[in-house]
Amino acid sequence: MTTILLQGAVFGLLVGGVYGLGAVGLSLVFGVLKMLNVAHGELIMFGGYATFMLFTLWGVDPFLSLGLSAPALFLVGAGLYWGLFRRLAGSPEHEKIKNSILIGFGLALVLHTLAILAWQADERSIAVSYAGQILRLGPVVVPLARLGALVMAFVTLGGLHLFLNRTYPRAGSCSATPTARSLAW
Amino acid sequence: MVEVHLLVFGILFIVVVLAFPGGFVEAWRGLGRARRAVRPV
Repeated sequence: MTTILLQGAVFGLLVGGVYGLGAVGLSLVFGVLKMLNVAHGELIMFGGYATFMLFTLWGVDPFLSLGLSAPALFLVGAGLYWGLFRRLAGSPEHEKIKNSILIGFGLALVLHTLAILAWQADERSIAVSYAGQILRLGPVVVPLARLGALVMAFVTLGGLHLFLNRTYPRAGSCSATPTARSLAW
Repeated sequence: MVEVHLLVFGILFIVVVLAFPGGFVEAWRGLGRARRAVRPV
C-alpha cells in the first residue's frame, strides 16, 4: 500500500512539475499584461506538436527540439499579441480582462480546430530510445524521460525566477501601471 | 466539416469581440450618443 502511494506521489510530482511550468506562463502573462489568455493550453499543445513533428520528420531529440520549438512558439505568441491582444492594451483593467477572455476563447477554438485538421484527433507519442529506461529508488520506479522533463521544468522556472529578480526588466514585471511596464521593457 | 464550422465560429467570435470591445449594448449606446451629437433633441 505504501509503495503504491509513494509511486503515485512520484508520478504526480513528475507530471505536476511540467503542468506547473505551464501555469507559471499563464500567471506571468496575467500578472504583467492583466490579460487572461485562455488559449494558453492550446499554445502548449502546439509546442508539443512542434516537438512531435521535429522528431517525426528529422528525428530531433525532444529535449534538443526545445531550442527550436520554444523560439517558434515565442514568435507565434508575439504575433498573436500584436494581431489580437495589443488592441486591448489601452482599455480599463476590467474591460481588458473581460475581452481578453473572450478573444482567448475564440482563439482556443481556432487553434484547437487547426490542430484537429492538421493532425487529426488521435493521440500521438514519441518513442525515443531511452523511453523505457528507469531509475529505481528502492520500491519506487522513476521513468528517466519524465525525470528529464521535470528537471527541465525546474531549470526553466529557476531561470525565470533569476530573470525576474536579478535583471532590469523585473521593475517592469512588478510595476503597477502599464506605462511603467512599457518603459522598463 | 464540423471542424470547419468551429473554425469559422472561432474567427467570427474574435472579429465580433474586436469590433465591439464593450459589447453590443455599449455599441448601441455609442450609436445613440453619436446620433444625438449630430441631431440634438
